[in-house]
Amino acid sequence: MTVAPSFHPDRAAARTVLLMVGLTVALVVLMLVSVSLGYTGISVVDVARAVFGIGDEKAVIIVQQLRLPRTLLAVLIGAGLGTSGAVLQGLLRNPLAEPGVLGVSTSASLGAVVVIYFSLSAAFPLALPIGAMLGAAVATGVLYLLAARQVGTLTLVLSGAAISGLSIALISLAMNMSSNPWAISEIAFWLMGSVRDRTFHEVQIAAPFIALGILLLAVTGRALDGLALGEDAARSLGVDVTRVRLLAIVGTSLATGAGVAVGGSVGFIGLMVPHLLRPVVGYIPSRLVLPSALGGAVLTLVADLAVRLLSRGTELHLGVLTSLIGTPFFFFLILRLRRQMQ
Amino acid sequence: MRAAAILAAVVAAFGASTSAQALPRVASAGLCADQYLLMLADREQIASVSWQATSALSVYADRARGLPTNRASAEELISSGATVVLSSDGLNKPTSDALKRLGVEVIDLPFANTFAEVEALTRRIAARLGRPQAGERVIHDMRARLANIRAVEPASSWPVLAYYRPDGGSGGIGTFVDSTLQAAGYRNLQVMRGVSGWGALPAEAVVTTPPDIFGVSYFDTGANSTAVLRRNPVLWGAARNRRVVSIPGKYWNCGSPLLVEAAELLARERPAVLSERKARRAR
Amino acid sequence: MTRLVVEDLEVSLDRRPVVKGLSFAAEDGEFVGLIGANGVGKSTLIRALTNLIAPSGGRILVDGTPIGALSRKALARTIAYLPQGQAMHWPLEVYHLVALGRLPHLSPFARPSAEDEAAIRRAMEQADVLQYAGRSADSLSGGERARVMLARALAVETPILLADEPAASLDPYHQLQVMELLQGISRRGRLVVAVLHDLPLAARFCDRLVLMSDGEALADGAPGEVLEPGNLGAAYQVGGYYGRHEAEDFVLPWRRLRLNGEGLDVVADQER
Repeated sequence: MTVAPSFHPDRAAARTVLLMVGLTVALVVLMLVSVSLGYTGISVVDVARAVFGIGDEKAVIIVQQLRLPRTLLAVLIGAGLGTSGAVLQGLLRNPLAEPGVLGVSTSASLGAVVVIYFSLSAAFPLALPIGAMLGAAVATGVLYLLAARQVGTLTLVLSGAAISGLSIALISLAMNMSSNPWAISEIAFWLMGSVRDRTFHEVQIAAPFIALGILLLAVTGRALDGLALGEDAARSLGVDVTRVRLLAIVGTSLATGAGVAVGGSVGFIGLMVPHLLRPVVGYIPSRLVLPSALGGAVLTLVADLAVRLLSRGTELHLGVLTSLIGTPFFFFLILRLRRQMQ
Repeated sequence: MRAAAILAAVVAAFGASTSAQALPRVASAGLCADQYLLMLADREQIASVSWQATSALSVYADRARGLPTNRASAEELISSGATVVLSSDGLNKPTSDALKRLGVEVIDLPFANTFAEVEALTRRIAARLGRPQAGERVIHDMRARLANIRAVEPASSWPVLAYYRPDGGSGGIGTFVDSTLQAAGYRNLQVMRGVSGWGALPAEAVVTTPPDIFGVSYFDTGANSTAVLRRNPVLWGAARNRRVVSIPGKYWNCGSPLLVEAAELLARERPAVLSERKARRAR
Repeated sequence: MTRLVVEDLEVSLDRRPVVKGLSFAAEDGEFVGLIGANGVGKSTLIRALTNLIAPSGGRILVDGTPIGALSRKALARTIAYLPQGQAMHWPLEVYHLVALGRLPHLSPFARPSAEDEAAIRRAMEQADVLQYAGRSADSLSGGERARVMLARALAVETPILLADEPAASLDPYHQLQVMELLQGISRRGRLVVAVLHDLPLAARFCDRLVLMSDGEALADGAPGEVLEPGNLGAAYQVGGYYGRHEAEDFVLPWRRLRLNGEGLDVVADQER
């Protein structure tokens, strides 16, 4: 039998390629804009020169050591959140899933809050990121035990809600009991999520974990396709459902936990990006993973630019902005799904 | 104003002889740091002050006008050319870390709760600014004014004051509220309860041991500062029959030489409080 | 070698025995119907055959090898499973949905090969869904969707196809169409085992029936033998009407029966 070309044009594949190209271009443009925008006026020409280390010493420091890492961090955190969202939604077969759902972000926040409460950063500089990753790891551990026991999706989501609830309760306890009058405001500011004034130090801490997390998540693509038919059918097609769950959970914890560790709590990126991109890639889960990484980076960068442009008085925090946009989006999604089910 | 007078003296004493180029360029982030910087520094060495320095909460607002301001971002502070940044809770941790990594010295002002601590902090800052004599002038003036208002009677006969912040908290043992009240010749109801720190003063305590005077404070412009008392009907019932003195927040938002202004204000109320108490006891 | 052998199979759910010692063997080209009242263990048996549930006793052999010994992928290339309910969580294009059937054959990051595409095409032709290739799966009717799911299962091109109630909740036209398709597939060489709840359909289209009752095989053989009155009464508590039309035998459930001291008795008129 001769090799025949496909009898059905894969339009979704063509659209996906266009999407990736478009997102990449958008990302590059936004990164350039982000490096040019800040708290002190530096002309675009001077910014361009400062990127390469030429020009006024202060401008070089500002551009290379403050604006560039901030941009990179927004990209990394956004990519991690977007990928996690896409994979979790594919794994749980639920368009409402995202890293916040599994309680990973909140428990990472708790880890950081514990460090702030006991003022551990004074003694040990890396305490904050390590605290956040440990928090994420604890949530991961609990979810790992559940996933290995092959509990259902609903149980997994409810466990995430319980972990979130417990973390928030403990965070509130820390705020309540703190004798340091400034601890509350420090915790509150940190929970609101921001990449302002981050340096390459933070990038170096977060980048390896986020990269590793995205890698683990990217591997699950094909298994997620099988899961579109339900767990039983997926298993019968040779999908190792337990392995997919573990990869998704560990990948999410790394990618999200590291982001929370350096930038605080930034939410809803993982919810919005996959939802927006899914129709473009033909609803195929495996094709959603990498575009969501790019889309997450783009959306987070847009939000961080908006934060810099909108702040006239007190600075608007990145996490606050994403929540303000994300929560109505969440409600809109719920209503849409209800209508579809009727 | 007395504050301006101190400054005038300091500037006059040092204006001609000090070379501003030898002094480090310093910026401040946070209201308390602003006040210290504006109080002790030579104007030429001030690289930047926080945006709060020209607000109604700043005693030195006039002096701050015309200076570059910052919103506590690393970019602005680097851009200002400061090599030292004084921070009074103005910088959040990432910004502070970033500045340190970029070679700027960040001095986080510790809490000064007693006048001795205020003096030590003033000396330390003045030294770092390269202006030790400015520091000594401020301390000398502070001591003189405190000596002026010191109560001569034994402490057990002082009037009792109950202090409420707008958020309902009070100032107990070890706070600068405590130190200021002592300097002005008042007993602090929260201290009498044996409570330290900034926690709340329950209305019950006020009912059990009615104070001779209530102190309230406002930290934003034009707020109704007795609102904190009105919130609780029992408290308001007790307060209505007493004097209420309102201390402007700009005098005591932190432990600094400006506490003396608050102490003097309280001391001015004292004679009236004592005569009211006498009248009440006679009844 | 016998394609599928089940020996003394015991399967428990939540420690409760559901399949209690069942044995049968089946060859290529057979269309086996698994029938029985609700709750006798039909679906559990099918799921055990797919290795979705581990048996608590007995064994299942495929081409002489215990299914537990096969790798996940090898098993996936040997047995295709069409679950009940046509679950589909994302509105994929029909083509991509059927293409999922090739997952067991794809290496990790490879694109589908020409052979994969040929298999997809063959499956869609067999299930008569080629014309829906570009449509979104959620725009299809129930009958069309059932055929698309069947095409997905066929695309795996396994020697064995297990189906759990493939014709459930379909209208008569599509019920007949699906049964014809399954029969055609088995005639072309595959072993098809289907859980069926519709007695007349099972009797007419299957070569062989395994009648289950209380976790065991009550009868195993040609439809005519298996559905004789005694078995029908014991397994379903119904009496049947037996007939013949267009050279085919059929049986319809006709009357409810009731257990009395000596056996089964017709439910009296006044109780109806």
